[in-house]
Amino acid sequence: MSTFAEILLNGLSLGSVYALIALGFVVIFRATEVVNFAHASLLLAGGYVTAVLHDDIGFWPALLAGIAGAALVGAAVEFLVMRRYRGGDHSVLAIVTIGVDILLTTELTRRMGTDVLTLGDPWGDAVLRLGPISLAHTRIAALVAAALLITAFLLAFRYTSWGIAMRAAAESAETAALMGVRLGRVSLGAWAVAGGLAAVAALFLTVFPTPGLERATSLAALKAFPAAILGGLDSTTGALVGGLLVGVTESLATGYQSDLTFLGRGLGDLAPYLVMVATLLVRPAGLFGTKELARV
Amino acid sequence: MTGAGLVVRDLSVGYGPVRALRRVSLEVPEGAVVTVLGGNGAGKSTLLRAISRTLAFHGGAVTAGTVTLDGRRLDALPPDRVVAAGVCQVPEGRRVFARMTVSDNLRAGALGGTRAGRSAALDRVHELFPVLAERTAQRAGLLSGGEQQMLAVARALMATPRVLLLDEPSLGLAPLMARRIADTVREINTQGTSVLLVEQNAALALRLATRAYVLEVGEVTLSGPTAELAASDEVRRRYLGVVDEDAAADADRATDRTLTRWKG
Repeated sequence: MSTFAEILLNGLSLGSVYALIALGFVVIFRATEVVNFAHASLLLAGGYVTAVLHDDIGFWPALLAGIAGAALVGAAVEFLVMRRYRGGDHSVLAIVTIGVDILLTTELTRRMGTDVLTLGDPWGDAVLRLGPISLAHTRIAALVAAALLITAFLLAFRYTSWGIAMRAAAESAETAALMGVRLGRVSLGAWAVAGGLAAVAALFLTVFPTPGLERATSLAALKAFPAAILGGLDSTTGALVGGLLVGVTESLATGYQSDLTFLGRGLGDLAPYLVMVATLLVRPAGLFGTKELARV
Repeated sequence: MTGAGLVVRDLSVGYGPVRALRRVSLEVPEGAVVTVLGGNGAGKSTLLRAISRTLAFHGGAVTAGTVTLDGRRLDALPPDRVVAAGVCQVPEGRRVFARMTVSDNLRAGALGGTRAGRSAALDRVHELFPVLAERTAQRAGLLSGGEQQMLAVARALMATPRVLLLDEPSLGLAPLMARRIADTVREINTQGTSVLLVEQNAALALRLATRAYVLEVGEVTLSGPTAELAASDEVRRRYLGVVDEDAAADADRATDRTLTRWKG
């Protein structure tokens, strides 16, 4: 039972990190209707900035720099690339983001080489023991940080002018423009916010028990993609639920791997996608996604 | 034809190879209600899109002509700057943000303004449409058609425009509700906002406006004070559905001699 609780808590913590990434996907999708395949490279960029700077300026300033850096890279992608295509086909734009991703990831992995970079986090490998349950400090920090950020984000989304502009643009870009919403700013903001969230996620994807920031980190980031899709690409609630679901599933599949050997190894990596496919079979628009309705 | 108010000069618009408007000119003087009549596909919505600069969403573009407000060119601005300049549109089919609450819809209309301006505009809007004040927390998609139209008008008024563009506000509404909207338009006008009203419901539009333009296949074919137009046989026959025998006989005898043709 205690292992189960441990696995569950670890899964929730992991899931909250995925939720941060998925939220970025959803924000960009809602603001611009573009599926952003470059998200993993934004994450990598944020993590890289933090990893490079933490020795010189300390962890917290480096983390802030990482967040700002990833937000800046996101904004730059929007401004330099996506904006040129505005009004273009959304599927074309999605493919453009794949190109951007390849470009960014190649450059970042070239810089990292085969190194595994640490981000210099203060938690180290400390473990909290609560009776029979032991939890790494990093996992608790991830859960708390993600919960705080997501709450702040949802409140801003709900109550600030920025959030209203974002939601209006998501419902109908044309009508929003008629009301004086600056679509360019909305889309720039979405990319920057997504980048910032991804940088925080980068931190928690690379701390203990993971060795550190490396090439494969972007693969881990991709698991947020099934999270966003199974929650419904245009729903912030969906991103949260999807993220948690994927995290817990992965954690369970990894934790009980020894009982599941008949399915082969590496089930943990596969589980998110299985959950996604199973969900989409039942609910093609995702758990909370808006169904495409056409009035005839 | 220069000076105060909204002035459209020789405006031509195309959607790719398709010409939607050809050398359209019209004027909305300060404080006036002007209407544009025309059937489906005449180019009425295109005209409003050209003024509000949202043609790009439909693959269209202005190919010639100018739009000015008090002599200031609007035809090179992005849509949000047109709103900031004081021209705001209530699009056809209401287009309220269905998933947002009534109060968020109204806030969305006032994003360009200041906080003080927003609360003043909100007071005005609640006075015009008390029903919206009762439904602030309700989702706009759950309002009735008439209430949605009120919300759409209210949302546009939140930007405190000097010229309000209305695209078929009576479309799909019960006659009683259409009359209420008409009363509101009159009220808004007396409060100092000029109105450009695009309508298929000519009876309603001619009663509201002081001047009317008839748009047919992208061209202005008739224009004049509404009293004259409403009395003209051609307009009565085609837009008011009046089939009095004299008018029909007159029209048969002299289709070309009815009202002076509009000369661009």
